[in-house]
Amino acid sequence: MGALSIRHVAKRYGAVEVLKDIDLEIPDGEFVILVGPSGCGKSTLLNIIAGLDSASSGEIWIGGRLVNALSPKDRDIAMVFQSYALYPTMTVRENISFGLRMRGVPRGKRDEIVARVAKILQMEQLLDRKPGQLSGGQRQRVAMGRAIARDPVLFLFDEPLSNLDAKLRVEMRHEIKQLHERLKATIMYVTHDQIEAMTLGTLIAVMKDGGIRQFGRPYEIYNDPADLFVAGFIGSPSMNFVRSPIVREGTTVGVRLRSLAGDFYLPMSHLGDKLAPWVGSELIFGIRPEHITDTVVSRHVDGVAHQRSVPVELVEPTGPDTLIFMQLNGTRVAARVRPEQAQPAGSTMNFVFDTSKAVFFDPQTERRAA
Amino acid sequence: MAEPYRTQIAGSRTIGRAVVYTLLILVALYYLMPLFVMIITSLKTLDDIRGGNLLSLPEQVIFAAWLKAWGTACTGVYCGGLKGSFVNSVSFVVPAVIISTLIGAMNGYVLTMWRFRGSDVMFTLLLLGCFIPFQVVLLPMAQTLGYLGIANSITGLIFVHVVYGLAFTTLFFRNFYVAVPLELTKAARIDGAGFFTIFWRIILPLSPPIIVVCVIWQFTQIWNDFLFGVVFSSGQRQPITVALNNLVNTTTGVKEYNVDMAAAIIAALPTLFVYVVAGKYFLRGLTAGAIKG
Repeated sequence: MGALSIRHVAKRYGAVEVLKDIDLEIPDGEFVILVGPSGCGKSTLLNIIAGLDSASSGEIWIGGRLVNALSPKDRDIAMVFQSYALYPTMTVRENISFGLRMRGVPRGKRDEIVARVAKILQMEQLLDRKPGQLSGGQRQRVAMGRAIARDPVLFLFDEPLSNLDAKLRVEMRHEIKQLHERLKATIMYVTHDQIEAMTLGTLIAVMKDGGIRQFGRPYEIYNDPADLFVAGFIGSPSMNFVRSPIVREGTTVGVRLRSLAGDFYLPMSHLGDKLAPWVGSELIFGIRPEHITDTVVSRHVDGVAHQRSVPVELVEPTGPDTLIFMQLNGTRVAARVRPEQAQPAGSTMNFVFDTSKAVFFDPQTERRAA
Repeated sequence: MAEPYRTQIAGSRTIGRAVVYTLLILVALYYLMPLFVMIITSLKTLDDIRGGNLLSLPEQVIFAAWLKAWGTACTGVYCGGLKGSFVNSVSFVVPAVIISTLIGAMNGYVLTMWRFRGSDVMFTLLLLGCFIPFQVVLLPMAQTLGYLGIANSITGLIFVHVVYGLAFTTLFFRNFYVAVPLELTKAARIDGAGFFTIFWRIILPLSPPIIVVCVIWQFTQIWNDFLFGVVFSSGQRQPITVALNNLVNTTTGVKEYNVDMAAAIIAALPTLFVYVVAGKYFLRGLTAGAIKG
């Protein structure tokens, strides 16, 4: 029996459907990320799991129990909020032990748990301070401590890092990940940040418009996106999408691309016959920037690496890599090259297109075509 | 180069300060003048009052007028001073303030943390209560008190003031709690706290600033109320404002200005006391919006 099972959950406000038939099965010990743009329903789903909101239909099972009718406190969960939601008039110690106290845990036991949690999070010296005297990162840590103290079946995190500055966010990300590995707990984590999703999650559910677009391991989501939205949402810089005619040349099927200097053809041999039905029509050709590189960095694997020379339109150094932009079929396309290999704007540069991870989407349905 | 520039700034700052302080002192004097006149008049003998002018200091400070105003001054045939009505006022003002503040806090808590369908409409309707003049509710209130069997009693006055004060106290607390993050309540619910526990253990401890505002406001309003007092009470149950009015307006023989003044100050002392004790929290509470947790 998994830690969390969401069965056909829907949420409607009048005629507006904010969650549509959500179905998720989450095994024990997984770090599940609910990711999506704001308004996609991810926080509503989290609130429904917590019992702070109710589903219009469907079932929520936590730790093998149907919890639809249970109040939040009886669901064996703990939640960490974006605003930390520490009780301002209580000390850190009282904040951590409040939930235990409400559950009638005796005093000695409470002190023991607080001491253990403080040790895990290295905040023994903060126990007698009030939340107002803590920094953002310390507050976040206390909020996590409050959750850990409860030792629940399921942890819920609602965008816990969005109030922190960039540097602290990275640090806390590491702490959360370590915590997960140490506690082996099941975590459901809501974020709109795809980097957090990729770095933290062992499973990712990408949501949009109240539905789950794809649910899978991070590498599956990244390499094998189910539709145009998932492909564009995960990954930074975003995947390139080029509307291209599908053509047959000799024994291969591929795409025809038009740069500012002329046309060229890229065969898609890795896809075998999958593209064949689309010959003569147009598909959206998706390729990540790191799969268009310079000639030095690329692995010259026969059949999937194709060298083409294309005029450089724009150069954007990021430090470790330089992004080079070019025009293909009237769309701006990013390539990721080594800084030393970057050519200035206006010149023509040799790029290697690694088509082994190229994906295709139907422009009408936006679903994967191949 | 820098030196004369700095002195210039410092000079204009001193002048600015001087102007501000002079103005403040003048305004303060202007507002304190009536109180000053009241105090010196209350400490004079009647002869002294007739002989000197309004602002002259008493020839001899005597507290006879104060003692008379408190204990023996006559209103018609009753010669008990303000003592009885002072106790009356305290006996209904204190419960009325406490009850209306507590209910206001509870209302504010519900209207912000436990919103329900129509809670905003409810709040708007409640707000309208702030704009209803006292006079409008006199007759319906008299009837209501009659039905409830608490007409002409301290309980009745408490009821009237609680009902009338709710609009304001709810407004105060609701606007204060709107700035409290909702997640606080959510976290407490997950922690296992119920409706009243959250209110008592988490929300109320956040509230001292707004409680002070509310108490000062309600205390001043209820203590100083004359209309409800004169309409809904009579005889020995009248509040001090009514007693003061009767004392000053019914005179047999010589008009005793010193007693009138002492009586007026006695009637005003409790509100003054509340302001002095809690005043420094007043502004803080009015301006306190966000609670950083």
